Order: sequence, then structure tokens, then C-alpha cells
Amino acid sequence: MNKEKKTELLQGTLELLILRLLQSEPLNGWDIMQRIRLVSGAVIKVSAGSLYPALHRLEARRLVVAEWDVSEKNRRAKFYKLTAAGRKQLEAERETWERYTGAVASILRNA
Amino acid sequence: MLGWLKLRLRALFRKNEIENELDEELRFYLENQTEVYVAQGMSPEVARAAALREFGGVEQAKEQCRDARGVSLIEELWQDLRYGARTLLKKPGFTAVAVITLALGIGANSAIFSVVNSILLRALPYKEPQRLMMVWTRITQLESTSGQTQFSNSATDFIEWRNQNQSFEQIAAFSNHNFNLSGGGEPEFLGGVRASANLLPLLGVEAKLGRTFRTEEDQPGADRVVILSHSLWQRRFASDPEIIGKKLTLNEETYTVVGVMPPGFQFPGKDSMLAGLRFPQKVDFYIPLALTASEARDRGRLYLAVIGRLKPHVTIAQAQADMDAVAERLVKQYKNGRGVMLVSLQHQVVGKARNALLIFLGAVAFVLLIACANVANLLLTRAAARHKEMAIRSALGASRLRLIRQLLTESLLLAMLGGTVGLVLAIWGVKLLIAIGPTNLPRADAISVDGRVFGFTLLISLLTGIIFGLAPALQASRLDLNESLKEGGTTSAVSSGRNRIRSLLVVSQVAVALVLLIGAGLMIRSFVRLLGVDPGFDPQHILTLDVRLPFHKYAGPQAGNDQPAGPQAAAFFQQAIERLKTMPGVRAAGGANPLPLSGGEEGSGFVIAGRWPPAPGEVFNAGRRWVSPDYFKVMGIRLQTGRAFTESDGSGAPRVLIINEAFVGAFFPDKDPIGKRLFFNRGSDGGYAWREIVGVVKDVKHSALDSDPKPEMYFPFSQFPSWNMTLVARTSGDPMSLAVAARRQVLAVDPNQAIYNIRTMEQLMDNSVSQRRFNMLLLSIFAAVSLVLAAVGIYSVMAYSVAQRTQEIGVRMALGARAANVLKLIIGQGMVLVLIGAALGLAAAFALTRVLTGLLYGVSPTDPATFAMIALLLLCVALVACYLPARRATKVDPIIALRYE
Repeated sequence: MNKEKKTELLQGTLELLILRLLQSEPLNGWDIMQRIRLVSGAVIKVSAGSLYPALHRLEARRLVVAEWDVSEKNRRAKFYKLTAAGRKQLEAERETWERYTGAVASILRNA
Repeated sequence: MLGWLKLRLRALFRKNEIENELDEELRFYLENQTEVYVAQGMSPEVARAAALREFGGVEQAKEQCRDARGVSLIEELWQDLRYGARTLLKKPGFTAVAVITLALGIGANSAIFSVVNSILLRALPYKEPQRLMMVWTRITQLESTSGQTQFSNSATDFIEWRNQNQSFEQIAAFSNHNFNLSGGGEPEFLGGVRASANLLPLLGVEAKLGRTFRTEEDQPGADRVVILSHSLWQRRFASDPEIIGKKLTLNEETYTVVGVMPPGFQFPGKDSMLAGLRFPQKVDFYIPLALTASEARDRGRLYLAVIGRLKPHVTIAQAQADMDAVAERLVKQYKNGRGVMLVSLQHQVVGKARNALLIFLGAVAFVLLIACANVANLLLTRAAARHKEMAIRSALGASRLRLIRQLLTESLLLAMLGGTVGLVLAIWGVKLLIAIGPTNLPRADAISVDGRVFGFTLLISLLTGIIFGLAPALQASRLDLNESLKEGGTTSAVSSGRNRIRSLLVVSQVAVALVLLIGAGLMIRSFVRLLGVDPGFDPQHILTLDVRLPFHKYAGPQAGNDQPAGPQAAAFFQQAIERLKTMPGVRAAGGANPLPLSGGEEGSGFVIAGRWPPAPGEVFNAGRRWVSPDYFKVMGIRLQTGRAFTESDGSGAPRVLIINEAFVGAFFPDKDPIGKRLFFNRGSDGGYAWREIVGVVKDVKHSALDSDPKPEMYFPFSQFPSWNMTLVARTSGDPMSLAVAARRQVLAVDPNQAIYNIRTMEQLMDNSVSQRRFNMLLLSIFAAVSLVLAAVGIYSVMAYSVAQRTQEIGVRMALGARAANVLKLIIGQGMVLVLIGAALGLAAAFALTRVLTGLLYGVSPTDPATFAMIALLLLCVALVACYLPARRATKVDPIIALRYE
């Protein structure tokens, strides 16, 4: 039970991160993984085993679309691109997230 | 939306493509990662393994991706169905047993539901039938002696009600009426209805040809118009399209045809026993009621049925209150206490059948529950065998929910197969039900399997699939991977949980089966009691012939249907009886109207005191029969005191009557009735006539074997000749063998009259118990099926338990336990469950058999003897079901048993 809850929490956050990373350009799974590592370092640990299901979930919800293209190393790879709905979702979630973290931060500071 | 659909459809139909893409996508990642590790200096193999490890469960991720894409629901369902079908096909024995068990349960439910649906749920074939109410007269002081609560109505009351009520949009009256149709072919006797002009519009039906009656035709003088039934029009007039406007000769008068009713229209339905009014089995025609002035004034004669259509939004309670107020005013006005009673038409038609039908529906649901328990049992046993399969699927990334879904899909597949076969059984079963059903089942002609029955079958199939599938699925999917995958597989925890469910199933099966068995036992005892009832006459070797005389030839001095026939009629019957007596093989012959158990019921009001007109409360009512002098001798009805009728009690002789013991009990409890006089209303002229009591005969079960005898009066038929008579002949051999000859003898007197029924008295007795026999038979079948199913259930649980405990039993035997000990061990284990179930069943039966009260005769719903006997029967069957596996346990060879597994 407990374990499931944790992944669930992670899931939502992971999806938000993915949407944010896709905001500027279409990326494949490997790229996304590298960027998460690059940006967050060791703080957030994401396994590819949870990244791919997250990508597929986003695709199923039509927040991203996937396209086969050629990667930098000239290999065929699946690239994910943000849709209009995805952009909207990103805005909404970012706002929620900021409000939430802001509230928590202010409690931590002032309480 | 379109994009989503494209994605899903692609998921469904381009499965391989998607799987390939998924593989390629993940491979791309893994290869990249491997390259990274190789660049860090690992060997390719190590790097690949590290990449896989770092990825964290490729197969699980794939499964999650598939889930995420929502491929699942439809795709997986299809997959599960195919997989399920394959597993079912692989075990044809298991599948066959499960499907047959379910088909029996579901089929029985669908069949009974078809009947309930057609009789209780389907609306009557009239416009807004829920607003149609029958209106009856209540005569409280006659209810106790006659046992009747609904009396037909007088014309005066009908007119007052029509004028004074606030609740009805329309209110109509009708009565039965017979005609002799002559001219253009054989003279024919027709049964029909005399109805006020608004009856057919009130029902919301229109003529197929022509029109219904006009208001002005509902007046004496303007009423020589007739509407034909569709079947009469087809049969007698060859569907003549020019029939409207043609003239017919009915009872020697000329009527003009104004309409033909649509096919299938029948009102009143042949099934609605309207308060003793004898409507024809088949209505051939309608004529206007057209009450004459003297009829309208006559408040004494009760002969009209009244039906009303409630105004919109008026409830039956409001209408009843309104009519009560009207009745109150009439009591003051006429100084004669009469009430009024409203009954919805629906209730009037099906009310009696309702209770029994609902009980059957409940009983058959119990049967299905027991069937479900058996199939659940089978599934549990199979689940044990499939334990490893589940464990492997689980290890490959199937979630518990996924496993449950798959197992449930299999159960539903089984249930659907069972439902399909069950539906076939139901269609066949409904035909059987109608064939063996009681003759007076209301709306029997409307019983059919329709869309609602299909829907019901589908619903209960789904429901049963979930009921019997859920527990085994939950059990089977509760896995401990490590334990399961080990050699020797079943863990004790899982199997003990499973055994608990099994025990629970046995207990509940026994309990439910016992309730059904006790119900059936009570019905059987009632029926045996009923067959043992003394009808008051000797029904063996009696042939009966219903004779109806043509109107014109036998009419008396007063014309009219309800007037006595002429003396020619008495002469005819006398001659016919004489001819029957002379037939070889006939020992005695006579006649009566109405005959006991024939469904006919006639009564007449009378006054005992010598005053006329009587004061209110001095008029009583008793059954009235017209009989020939020898009738009592023919039927074997014993004369208690006084004398029987003789040939000299003719039309000119002093008027006499014979009464039964119930009459004596009700009206002369401590006086000798012989020589006492009763006064009778003579009808239209307002005068009275008296008759002297000359004898008392033994009570006869006149209306039904299960109803108490009521006060009855017998009149000599030659003193009031009647149009109808049932001739009875006591024969020395099989009565039916004389049927043709007897018919010939009666026709020899007058070839123009109609003999419409030739039956034996035993057939009539049989008809009168057909409803009860049907109820008993049906409940007994359900109980028998449930007993067999429960026995199979106990047997299979015990057999499985023995198989599971083989090793243990082997050890015990090796240590010196004897066969008897083992037998005791196993039987003890089973019988404990059976006893718990039986105790619960007895308690439940004690609470539930109350609903049977109305269907029982001479047996209390909690009859201790029945409870005890049936419980004993169940225990015996259960003992056998436990003994067979136990005996197998004693045959266990310790050496083999210890090597087992």
C-alpha cells in the first residue's frame, strides 16, 4: 500500500517534469532521461522503467504526440512533442505546483 | 476524440506493429545506455547487463506501457476471452458440467420469469390499463355465509354511481348475454356481452371495421345493433368486408351489424372470474346494454359488472373514499346496507396467480444460487490446479487486478454459455409450463419469451458469472510468489482459505436446499390432504354431458335470457335422462345445473321469516342448484333426513326444496328444518314465492375441494326449467367408453341442441386441483434439482478434501488407524458442515414458509412433522454424499499415499 502511494506521488511529478522538458523541443526517451539527470542531479532519481510508462500515459491522454525520427547518432528513435492540450496542462499543473510549494515554503518559513 | 479513437483502434488492430515499436523504443534506450557504459570501460556484456539493471524491469515497464496506452480494456478482454475459451475447451468435462449446471439454473429462472413477465409485468392490452378499475357491490352480512366478497351490481346502483361519482372519467356496465343466431346456415348458439355504449371507448379500443356503439343506441328501441368479434366474423361470415350494415337474426329479432372488433381483442378476458358472473369463454358479439325503465328501477337483481376509468391523477384510495361516500348516501336513500369495492383490473385478472408466481420466482432464484455454489466449487478446485499458472503470469508483470479480471472473464464466459443454453431450455420450458399449467392460469395465451426475457437472461447470466466467479478469482489471485513457484506449490495459507470458502459453500447450499425442500414438502402434504378430501359424492364412473338448449324452440311464456325456459325444456331433459338410463352399461342417470366443480356458481336470496317485504338484514343468500329427481342417487350424495325429489315434484306440484347440512348449520342450528318455508323474490314483478324444505342432504364440495361447504339449496328442475343442464350418468365400466353412445341418445331427442362438453366427474375433480398440482409439481421439481445440486456439491467438496488429505490419511493408516476410524473422520468432517447448514436452513424455513400460507391446505406452514421428515431426508442424502468419498479414503494404500506428491 505504502509503496504504491509513493510511486503515485512520483508519477504526477514525473509527468509534470516531462511536460516541462518537452516545452521547448521534441525529445526522445533517452534525451529526456539525460536532461532530468543533468538538471536535477542526484536529487530526483528516475528510472527508465518508470519514464517510459509515463510517456505512454501522456500519449494516451493526448498531452503529447509521438513521431519516429532520426536521432543525433543517426538511429531511429521515437520523439515526443507537446500538444496544445499538453501546453495547457503544463500551465495548469505548474500553477498548482507553485501554489502548493509556495504554501508549504511559507509555512516552513513563518510557522 | 478522433485522435484518441485512432490510437485505440490502432492499439486493437495493429497490435504487432505497436509491440515492435515498443521494443524498438526501449531497445534504443538500452543500446544508448550500454554504449555509455562501454565508453566508461565495461565489456559489452557487462555493460548490457548493467543497462538492464539500471532500467529496472523491462517486462514490467512494457506491461505498464501497454496498460497506459489503454490497449488493455478491449484488447485484453479479447485476449482473455480467447484465452478463457482455450482453457475451457482444454477441460471439456469441467466445462460441460459447469455449463449444464448453470443452464439448468438460468433456464429455470428465465422460464419462470417469462411467465411472471407475461402475466404480472406486461400491461393489459387496453389504453392506460392502470387507470381501469372494477367496481363491485359489497354486502357485508352475506360475506360470512357465502364466502364471497365481490358481488355483481344492480342497474340502479350503476346509474347512481355514474351520476354521483367524482373520480371516474367514464364508468361502464356490462353483463353476459346469449343469442341464438339463425338464418344463413346452421342455427348457432353465441355467447356475448351486453355493454353500455361507452365500454369499448373506455377501454380505448376501436372497431377494425365500422364503429363502436353510439350513445343514442344505448336506449331501448334503438338498440338493435351488434358488433361482432373478429373470430366470429372470420368463421361465420368468411371475413365479409361488406358486413357492416347487414341484418342478422338473433333470438328471432333483427339486428344490424355496425362493427367488427380487431383480432385478438377479448373483453372480459376468459380468465377474469368476475364475481360469479359467467361470461362466455369466448365473446362472439357485443350489443348495447340499453337498460329498460323497469331494469333501471330494479335494485334487487345483481347481474352487472361495472368498470370505470379513473380521472388522471386520482388514486385508487381517493376513488374508493369518493365511492364510499356515494354508497353512504344510497344506504340512506334506499334503507338497504350495501357497500362498494374498487379493484384494479390488473389485480382482478391476475391477483390470484400473483402470490404463487412470486414464490416460484423466489424458489427458482434459490436453485440458481445453489447452482452458483456448485460452479464456484468447481472453479476453486480448478484454481488449485492453476496455481502455478497464476504465479507465472504474476511474475511476468500481471497485476492482481489483471489476474482477477482474467479469471472473471472466464467465469463470465462460462455464465454466458450457460445462459445461452439456459435460454434454449427456457423457451422449451415455457412451452412445458403452459402445457402442464393449470387450466385457469390467467393470460396464459399471452405467455411468451420476449425481449424482456432475453434482457433478464443476459442480466442474470452476468450476475451469476460474477457471483460464482468472484470468490474463486479473489482466492486464486492472492499469491505469494516465492511460495507458489517453489516445487510442491500449494501453500497452506491459501489452501486453508480456500477450504474455508468451500465449507461456507456447503453450509449455504444445504441451508438453501433445505428451505426449498421444506416448501415442497408442505405443498406435497397439502396436496395429499386435498386428494383425501371427501367431495361429498362418489366421483367414480360418472359421465357428464353439458347441454344447452336453443333459445327460440324452448322459450317459456316470459321472453328473456334470464327467464325460465318453457316446459318443453323440462320435457326435453326428462326424455334425455330416460334415454340415458336405458343404455346398456348405465346404472343411473340424472341432471344438474350447475354441477359441482364445474366452475358454475349460482345463488339466490331468500327470507326465512314469513314476512314480505323483508326488513333489511333478513335477506340471506345461498347457493342454488336445479337437479333431476335421481340426481342424488346418481352422484351418491347421501340423504340425511326427509325425502329426495320424486317424479311427482313437477311444475304443477307444491314447490319444494332440499338443503344441505351447511344450510342447516347456518340457518336452523337447533331446529328441524323439514317442513319450514323459504320465501323467494320472484324478480321483475316484485312478488314472492315460497318453497317448503322436504329434505337435507350431505354437504358437497361444490366450488372447489379446498373450500368449505357453503349453504346450498336444491330445486327440482321441472319447477324452474333451465336452458342449461349437465346430464350425469353412472356407468358400470369406463365412463368415457360410453361418451359417443350417450351423445347419440341425447341428440336423438332433439338434433338441434348443442352438447358442448363431455367429461368424466374424475376429470372435473382433476381440473379443480390442477392449480395446486401445478404449484406442487413446480416447487417439487425445484426442490429436487436443488437437492441433487447440493448433494453433488457436498460430494465434490468431500472428494477434494479426501484427495488433499491422502497423505495424512496414509500416515494415519500406517500408524494403525482402521478403515472405520478413517470413515468416521471424513464423514464427521462433512456432516458437521451439513448439520450447521441444516440448522440454518430450518431456521430460515421457519421464517420463510409463512409466504406459502395461501397455497397450503390443511397443513400449517411450520408443520413440525414435515420439517422433521424433510430434514431427515436431506441428512440421509448428505450422508451418502459424504460416505462415497470417505469410502475411497479407506481404500488408500499407505505406501502409495506416503509417496504421493
